[in-house]
Order: sequence, then C-alpha cells, then structure tokens
Amino acid sequence: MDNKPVYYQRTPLWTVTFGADDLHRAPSTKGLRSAFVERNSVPIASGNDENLDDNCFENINVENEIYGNRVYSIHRNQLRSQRNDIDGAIEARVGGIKARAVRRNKQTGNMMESIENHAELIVAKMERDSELMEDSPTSEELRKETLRDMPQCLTLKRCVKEKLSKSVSQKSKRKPLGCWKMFKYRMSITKSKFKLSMKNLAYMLELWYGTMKRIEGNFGSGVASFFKFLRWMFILDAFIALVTFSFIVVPQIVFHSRNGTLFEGFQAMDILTGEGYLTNTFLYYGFYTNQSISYTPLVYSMPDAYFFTMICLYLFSFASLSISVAIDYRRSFIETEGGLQNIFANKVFCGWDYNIATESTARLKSRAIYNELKELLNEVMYESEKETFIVVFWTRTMQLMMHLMVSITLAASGYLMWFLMDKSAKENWSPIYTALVVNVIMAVMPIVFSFIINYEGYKKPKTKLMFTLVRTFILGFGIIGVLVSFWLKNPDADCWETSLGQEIYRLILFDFIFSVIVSPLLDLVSYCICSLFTDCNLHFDIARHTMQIIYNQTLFWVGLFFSPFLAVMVSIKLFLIWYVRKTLVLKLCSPPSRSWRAAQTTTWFLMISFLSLLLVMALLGYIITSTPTSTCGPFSNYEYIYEIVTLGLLQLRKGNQVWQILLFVTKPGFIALVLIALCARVYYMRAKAQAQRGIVAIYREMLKWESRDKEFLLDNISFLTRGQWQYKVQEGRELDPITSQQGVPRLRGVQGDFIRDPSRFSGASSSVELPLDSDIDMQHFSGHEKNT
Amino acid sequence: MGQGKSQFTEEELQDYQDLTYFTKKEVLYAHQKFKSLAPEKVGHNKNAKLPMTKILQYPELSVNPFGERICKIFSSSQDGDCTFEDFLDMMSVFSQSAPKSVKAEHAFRIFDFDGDDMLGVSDLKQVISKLTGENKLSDSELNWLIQNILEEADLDDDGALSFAEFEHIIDRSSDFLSTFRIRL
Repeated sequence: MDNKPVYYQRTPLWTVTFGADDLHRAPSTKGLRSAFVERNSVPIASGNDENLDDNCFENINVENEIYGNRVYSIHRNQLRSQRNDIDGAIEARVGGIKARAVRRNKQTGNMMESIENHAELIVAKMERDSELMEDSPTSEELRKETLRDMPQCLTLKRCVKEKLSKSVSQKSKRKPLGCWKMFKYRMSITKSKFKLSMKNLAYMLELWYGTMKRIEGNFGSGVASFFKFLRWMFILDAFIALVTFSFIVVPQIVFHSRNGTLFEGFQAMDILTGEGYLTNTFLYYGFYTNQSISYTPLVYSMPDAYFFTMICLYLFSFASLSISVAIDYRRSFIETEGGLQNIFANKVFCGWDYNIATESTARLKSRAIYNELKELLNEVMYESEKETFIVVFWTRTMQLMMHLMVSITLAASGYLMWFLMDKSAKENWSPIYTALVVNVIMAVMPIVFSFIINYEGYKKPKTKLMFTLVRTFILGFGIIGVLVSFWLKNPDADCWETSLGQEIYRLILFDFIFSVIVSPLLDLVSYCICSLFTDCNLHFDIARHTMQIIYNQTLFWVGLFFSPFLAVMVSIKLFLIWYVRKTLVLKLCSPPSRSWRAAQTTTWFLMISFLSLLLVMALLGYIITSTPTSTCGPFSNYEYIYEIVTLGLLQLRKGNQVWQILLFVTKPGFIALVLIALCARVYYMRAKAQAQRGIVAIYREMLKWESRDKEFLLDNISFLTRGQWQYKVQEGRELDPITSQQGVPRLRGVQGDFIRDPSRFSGASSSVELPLDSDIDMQHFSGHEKNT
Repeated sequence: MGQGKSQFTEEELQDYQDLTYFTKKEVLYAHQKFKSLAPEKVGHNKNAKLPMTKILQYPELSVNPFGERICKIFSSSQDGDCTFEDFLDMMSVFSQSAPKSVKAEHAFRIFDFDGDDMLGVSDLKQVISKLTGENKLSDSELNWLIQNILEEADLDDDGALSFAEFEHIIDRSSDFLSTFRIRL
C-alpha cells in the first residue's frame, strides 16, 4: 500500500510461543525457504548491539520470546543446523530455559511491564524520525496519525503517546515563534478542530441510523445498499425542495397575495388530475410571474430567480452525483482492476458480512457462502465441457428472439402512451388514463423482464442483472421521452410548459400511490396467501426497487423545471417510501439466499442515475435554447429561455462581438470538435491503463520466477554444504531492521553471505554434481563458489 | 449519551479520540455498549476486564464465525478477555472510517489461526470450515478450493499467503470495506 515507515512489529505481542521443542525440529526446505522468502517482518534490533556475536542465541531467543517477534526463523534455523554441534545444543537449551522462564513470568501477570518495554521500543524507533518529533501542530498531527494507524492495542498506544509527548516537550527548544508561523499553526489547529466538529456533527445527524443498523444486522449489506441509495436521494431531494421553496415558491406567494385573485372552484378530482383549480397555482411554471417583485427598497426579479435557482440546482445535483459516481467507480472498478480476479480468494476472505447480527441471518449467510463456493467449484471443474453447435445456435436464436420481443414491447408501450395522450388532448379523454396505464406498465414490466431473463440461457447472474437493468432503464426513459416530445411537438396549447408539468405531476402522483399503497398491499396479500400453504420466503428485489427509485428521480428531474413545487412532493414521497419499505422488509422478507455484490451494483445504480440526469439535462438544454416559450410563465418576455442570460443579464445585442463568439462556441461543429478531443483523451488514457496492466502481469511473472530461483539456489546450498552453512548474523543485523522494510538482509544472504567450513566444502564439491536440468542462471551460483 | 461522561476524564476522552477513529461522542456511545454487556461490573470500574464469553454476547460477534478469534486478536492479554480499551480498539478498527490497510492487517491476524504470520493450508481450511458452518465441503472439494485460492493469490508460489499477498487481494476487493465493518 503506502510506504510509510513502520515503527512496530507486524505481529502482535505474544501471538507465537515456541519452546525448546521447536528448536529441535528437523530442518526442512520449507523452513529454509521461509527464512528467506516468506518473512515479511524484520527483526527488531536488540538494545545492545555488542552482544550480537555468534554466541548470543539465548539473548536473541529470549528477546523474541518477549516481543513475540517473527525473526526466530533465521535464528531457529541456525540452531537447527547446528543441532549436532554440542555447543549449539547447549545454547539452544539455555535459550529454551530462559524462554520458559519468561513465559512463566508472563503468566504471573507481569504484563504491564512488557507493555512498557514494548512501548519503549516503539518510542525509540519513532524518536529517530525527526519529522515526527518536531514540536509543531503538523508534526503532532502526524504523530497522532501514525499512532492511530498502528495495529497495536490501545493501552500500548496510550503509553507510547504519553512517552512521546514527554520526550517532545523535553527536546523542544522553545524558540519564540514568528508571526507568520504562529498564524500557520493557528490555522492548522483550527482546521483540524473544524474537521473534527464536522465529523461529530455528521455522526449526530446521520439519518435513520438505528434502522440502517437493524437492516444491516438482519439482511446484510446488500439490502442495506438499497436503503442507503434511498436515503441519499431523499437528502438530495429535500435539499432541492428547501431551495426551490424558499427562492421561488415563497416570493411568488408573497407577490400573489398582494396582487392576485382569490382561489376558487376547488374540486377533489383536481388533486388527481393536477388540472382545473390547480392549473393556476404555485404548482406549475405558468403561475410564476414575469415581473420583478419590489419589496422596498429591494427588487426581486422573478425570471432571474427562477432561471438561476433552477440552473444551480441542476448543476448541484449533477456535481454531487458525478462526484459520488467517480468515487464509487474508482473504489469498485479502478482500484480493483475490474474486481473480477481472485474470485475464490475474495469469496473466502471477504465473504462474511461482519454486519450480520442475528442467528438466522448468520445461518443463511453461511449456507449462501457454501452454495456459492460449490457453484464456483463446479464451474471450474466442468468448464472444459464444450456445448454442441445446436445448443449454442438454439440459445443464440432464443436470445435474439427475446431481444426482439422486448424491443417490440417497449415500442408498443411508447406508442400506447402517445395514443392516450393524443386522445386526452384532442378528444378530452381523462388524462388519468395515461397516468394509470403508464404506472401499470412501470410496475408490471420490470417483473416480466426479471422473469423472462431466466429463460434466455445467460449463465452469469451478472449478465442477467445487466440486461434486466438496461431494459428497465430503456422502458423508463422511453416513456419519459415520449411524454416530453409529445408536448414539444404540440406547442399549440396556450401554455405547454404547464401541461408538461401537469403530465409529470400525474405520473409522480400515481407512482406515489402505487409505491406507497398498492405495491405494499400486494406484497402483504401475496405474503398472506403463500404463508397459508407453505413456509413463505419473500425476498426483497433490490434491483427492481432501486430502478423504481431511479425512474421516479428521472421524472422528478424532468418535471422540476416546469413545476418547482414537485421537489417538496417527491421528498415527502421518498420519506414515506422509506418507512413503508422498512416496515415491510423487517416484517415480511427473509434474508437473501444469494450474496449480492453490493459495492459494484451500487456503482451501477449510481451510474444509471447519472446517465439519466445527463440525458435530462441535455433535454433541458434543448428546451432552453431551441424551443420558443409560450405566453405564460416567467420567461414570456423572451422568445427563447436562454435570452434571459444574453439579453437580460449581459445586455448583449445581436451582432455584438461577444455575441458572435457565443454563437461560434455553441455551434454543433465546435461542440463536436470538443467531444472528439475528449474522446481522444479517454482513448489515450485507456491505452495507457491497458499497457500498465500488461506491465503488472509481467512483474507478477517475474516475481514468481525470482522466488523459484531463490528456492532452487537454497536447495543447492543446503545440498552442497550438507546443512553446514550459516549466516553471518552481523550482516543481517547491521541494517536497521525497522527502517529497512523489505527483506534485504535475506536476499543478500542468498547471494553470498553464507560461510562454510572450507575443508568440508571442498570435500563435498568434488563428489557432488549440481543438477543442471533447471533453466536458472547456474553461472551466477558457481561464480560465487569460486569467489569464496 | 450524557450519563457515561462522568466516568471519563476529559484527558482520557481526548486520548481516545486521538488514537482511534472515533469522536468523543462515539467513544461514549461505545462505552455504553460495553457497559450493557456487564452493567454492574463496568459501572464499578469503567475499564473492567470482561471475560470472552461476555464480550461474545455483543450481537455482531456472537453470530460471527470468527468471534472468538476477533476477541483473541484484540485482547491485550491474548486470551480473549477484553478491557474497555481493547473493546474500543476493536470497534474502531471495524468502524467506517478505519483505512483499508488497518482493516487488512487485522483481518490477516484473524485468519492466521496458528499465528505463524502466514496463511498456510491449515489456516485456509479452518477459515473455510468456519465460513460454511454446518454445511461441510468434502475433502476433495476443500483441496480444490484451496488450490484455486493459492493459484490466484500466492504470487511467489510458496504454498502459503504472506501478509503482502493477502493485502494484495484485499486491495482488489471492492466489497471488503463494506463487509469488514460493524456499526457501533
């Protein structure tokens, strides 16, 4: 990961205890290898270096025992190789006895002292780092961070912290601080304090914390990802509602109460249709005035407020969404290199969901892990099985047919919608029909899609999910597209913006009724019916529900510009959906029987919502620049909405130089050029990433070969010397073991630090022939022989 | 959350805030949770040492197949008994704001059953059998599985996973951060 210096031993205190028995285990190549290749941790330096001659095994061993260090392998091997040697045996015995004594000591509860010792060591290491030991806030911050990231127990950390702060205050020579430095320190202190208080605030304000915990505990992080998504959308919408309400709705109401007429002629049906009495209320675009409202001495220009609030809100949603997409995408696709390698290792090491807190969920989870492991194994074992041509042909044809059918259904539902809207516009059919039909389509079709995908012969669940998502997305966006283009094509209505707003109002209202009342009722009824007969296992369909939220959000983004009050409605709706869904899930559903790749699918959902917002913004851009305004609403003074900027704000006249530049910049050719340049850049980055991936593969291969080389050399060394080899302890020890993180001393050991008994060696080499069948560099090896 | 406050000095709280990934409020909340495991004992001595069986009553740990391992790893006396500081340490590592490297370090220790700083075949076997619980894989399946894991992850081909190799896997896993987490 990062190359921070390590001030601690990688292993915890006393995890390993090895006694005298271990010292006499027979040497194995595995052990030898482990001495060179495997160890990541480096020996911690003993306090007194002069003791480090060949006779200090017991010293080292006792120390290892105290600090639970993992260096023992090297020294242990030394001892092992000398086990015929009487001296060595005695030394080993002594070490063992001392080790036992230490262990006894530990058992009698001398722990605090050991912690103290350990803390001393860490402090000593940290004190060498001058950057850490300065008496300045930045360095203090750094110290805290280093300590915090240290995987040691808290008691020890507190001990270290205390010692460190003591030694820092001793060392620092209190120089009077310069003005600028003082200011800088103050700033950094305030900054860190501010950060902390923000963190505190975020913790206090985390919405629905307890519910999230309960859902995670009962259903794991998959279902929780839906609720997180819902919460995110709710917060965004609530913010938008707050802004539109205070900057657009309230001023207009104030204006209206002064100059407007009284409300009259309200019917209950109007709530459903959004028409009649409601047409001319603050719900819709047409109601807002094109005048400035003067509150003496201030003047509030309604068109400006309307336009800029809307633009800012769209840009704000766009920015926040793209930031979270970027963060999520980076986390789950770029950093993981696609995230699809290491399936087995991932399943085993990251399979358990630590959030789970109930017995039954835990049982289901382990069942799910078991099933998935079995499936994976089966896949690997029978992968080679080739399908016959007929089968492949059949599945392909089947898939093609299904795609065709789905496309036809999509087109048909689009046409149906157009037809209904046409009728309601020209023959005075009630507009409720359109909304009803669309909602039925939106409720039924995703279920149909997720049903038929099972018969299309896709093997991977991921492909299935992808196709279902794409189809649902096209359906939703197709409907919205038809809706908008209908009103853009028929601008003969005297205020088409309001009509479009009404259409969306109805859709959202009916979706409201469906998702808050009808669909929970249906769930409840189906649960009751099926629990009459069998043990009912209702599963929560994460994908379908999330797509529902995304559809709703897309509708809202289209409608917001034409109906500012929609934001309040949608926020209330999401708020209610949260409670209804939460209750249903906790009461009726059982935990999923398959694991859900929460991180990646969340990224997909975010990307889909990002895409839909992008399309909506393109649509709005088109409306603003190329659709003539009607006679109502805040922009009725202008021919096109965008003129509020060019004519109203910048006071540009046609033919002006800036005007020319603007015209040029917004020409399709210019925009295409910019797009092509961007594409080229993306292509370049992609190629670069691919090249780097290739290099990584090569490095990986090299790593493998290198360790094979080492293994081979080690085997030869032990073979040639018949176990009579040894390390120069000092060589390995001279290096500061803590600051040199890599296993440098060990590598060096391979290349030539071993000492042999020359007489024995010459005897051996005359009779031993090196195995030459391997392809590694033998010359290097024999070159060393000659040198020594 | 206010009632726990009297048990800590401001200095201690500051220390905890500096050395864990929690804010002071969260530390107090964690202490409440710790207290609820053994009210009379902790009420008497805020940093009382609770035996492992008590700690394992914490809901997330009680159903976790690695619950005992987790207690042992975080216990400062290595036997699974935890003081409040050990408990706080545990929660801080499992919290949302702990970085991946720290989480990976602890995950490695949890999985390293024999404590030899390598995840060898026996460690992997234990991890898998704990994960699958009552449903046992057959021996041949288990061996296949382990072979596959080593093929994927064992970069230097020595038949065991070192910490670096383990970290490499974790780095490439998108789900690790969201699953290796316990909400306080």
